Amino acid sequence: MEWKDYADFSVTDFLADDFFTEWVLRPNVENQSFWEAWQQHYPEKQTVIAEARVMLLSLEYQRHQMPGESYDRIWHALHGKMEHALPETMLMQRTHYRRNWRRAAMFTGVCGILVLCTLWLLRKEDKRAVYTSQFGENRRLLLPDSSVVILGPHSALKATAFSPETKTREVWLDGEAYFMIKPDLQGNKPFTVHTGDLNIEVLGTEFNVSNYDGRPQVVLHSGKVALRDNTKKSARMIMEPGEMITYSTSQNRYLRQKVVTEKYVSWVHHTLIFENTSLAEVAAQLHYKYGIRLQFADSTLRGEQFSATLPQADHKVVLKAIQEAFGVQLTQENDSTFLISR
Amino acid sequence: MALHAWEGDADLWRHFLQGSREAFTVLYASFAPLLYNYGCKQCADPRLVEDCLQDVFEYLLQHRTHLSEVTNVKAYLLKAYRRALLHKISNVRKNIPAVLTDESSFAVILSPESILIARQSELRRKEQVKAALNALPPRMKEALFLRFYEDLPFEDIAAIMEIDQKSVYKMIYKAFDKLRQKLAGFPLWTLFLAIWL
Repeated sequence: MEWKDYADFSVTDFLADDFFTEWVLRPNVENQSFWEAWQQHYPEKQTVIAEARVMLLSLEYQRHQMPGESYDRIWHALHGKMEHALPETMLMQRTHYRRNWRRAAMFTGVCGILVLCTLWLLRKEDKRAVYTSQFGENRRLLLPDSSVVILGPHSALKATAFSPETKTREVWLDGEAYFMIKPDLQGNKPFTVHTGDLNIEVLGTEFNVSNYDGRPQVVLHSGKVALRDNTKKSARMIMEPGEMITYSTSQNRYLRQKVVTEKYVSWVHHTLIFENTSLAEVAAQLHYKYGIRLQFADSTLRGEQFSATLPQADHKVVLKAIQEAFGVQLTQENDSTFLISR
Repeated sequence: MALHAWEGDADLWRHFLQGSREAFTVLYASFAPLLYNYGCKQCADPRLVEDCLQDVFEYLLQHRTHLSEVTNVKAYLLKAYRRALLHKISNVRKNIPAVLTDESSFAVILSPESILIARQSELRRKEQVKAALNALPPRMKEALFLRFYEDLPFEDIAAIMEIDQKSVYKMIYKAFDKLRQKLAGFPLWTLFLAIWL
């Protein structure tokens, strides 16, 4: 889009424009620089732009949370039907190769060589599969037991093969993830999440684990989990739904509290919720999740309390909200550093 | 059995079409809560909202081999779901008032943070904007919701609401025009201070 195309736009024209909407609701480096430059070039259009912005930012909606029982009930009904409706991909391949024995023989040969090579390469290496996410990215993973994991930004999850011979299901987490664990009906395959010094034993459940920078936090949405610390700083802790357990470095112990779990899992839907969060803590989160450094010109700013619910949020949305809430100046120092001053 | 990961919704959909149970499981986990939220904005009866949700995913399982690739999975599922929901509502309408009234369907709210950050005088103005928005016809509000909350292009909104793309444009223009008329004489530029500061 050329600059001059926007010169004759009315408020409603702007509201119907994709690029303008994107800038107001999901600002990023590209659209931010365009619209800032554009407004400097057309200062007389600032009131029009401001009015369109006000209207867009007034559109806030409540999210209706799907109850866990409904989610499970419908999934249970679908799961039965899925067994009939969806073939197993592995079986289809086998019949295909049986028909073409020549190809099958070649395939086996190639596979054999590949397996030998892989075994050689993996001699001493970690055999766990690793999944990672970029800054600002959420990734969905399905574990072999049909448990679903939503991996938060800048995080890594390692998992064992979960093969029938192994007695346990184990994963290792760095960063943040939301787990929807398939219940273990026979009771002989416990699921364990390892993060830092903490082991979380799961008994079929939904919960959020966050462990950026060695500050573990576990929030239990439904079901039951047991926490155990490797270094024996604490006895085994059983959690109830709606509880959060965090580790306090200053007190050198785990703290338990009641929380509204939705607030801690809203990131799954790209919504960020802050409630009386200090700006220093917001800065830490921006750093872990988006790779952004926030510097404070005035150290009293660090203690300011920030509250906001930000749908479709990325670091730009958070920064803009801070700017609006405290009436502060925000200067971009370089690609990833912002200076905040009164 | 290996771990599974998908590049995006379209990739997930492709694997489901090929018969992957894993992909179907992740489709359900990813979109059931989104459809539930949408259904609750359309219909006051949570039982209907849930029944239709199950119907849509069952339909996908039964008709997988006849389905084609889609670029926007979210828009595709919203369309299928909306159609199923409206059909069900029209069947039970005689007995139960399932459709939400004008005021509460796709209602706009004042989020806690806008209440917190706003000064008293701004808050009153924001309340007025909210009231004016919620007084709009439900279809207009639905178009606004799909456009600005679900972040869908005009083309997909047209397909979901089963109208042509021009009508979506018109509806969104009209919605904002009505809003401006209702707020005429209301110094909107003063709100700009609150947002621009």
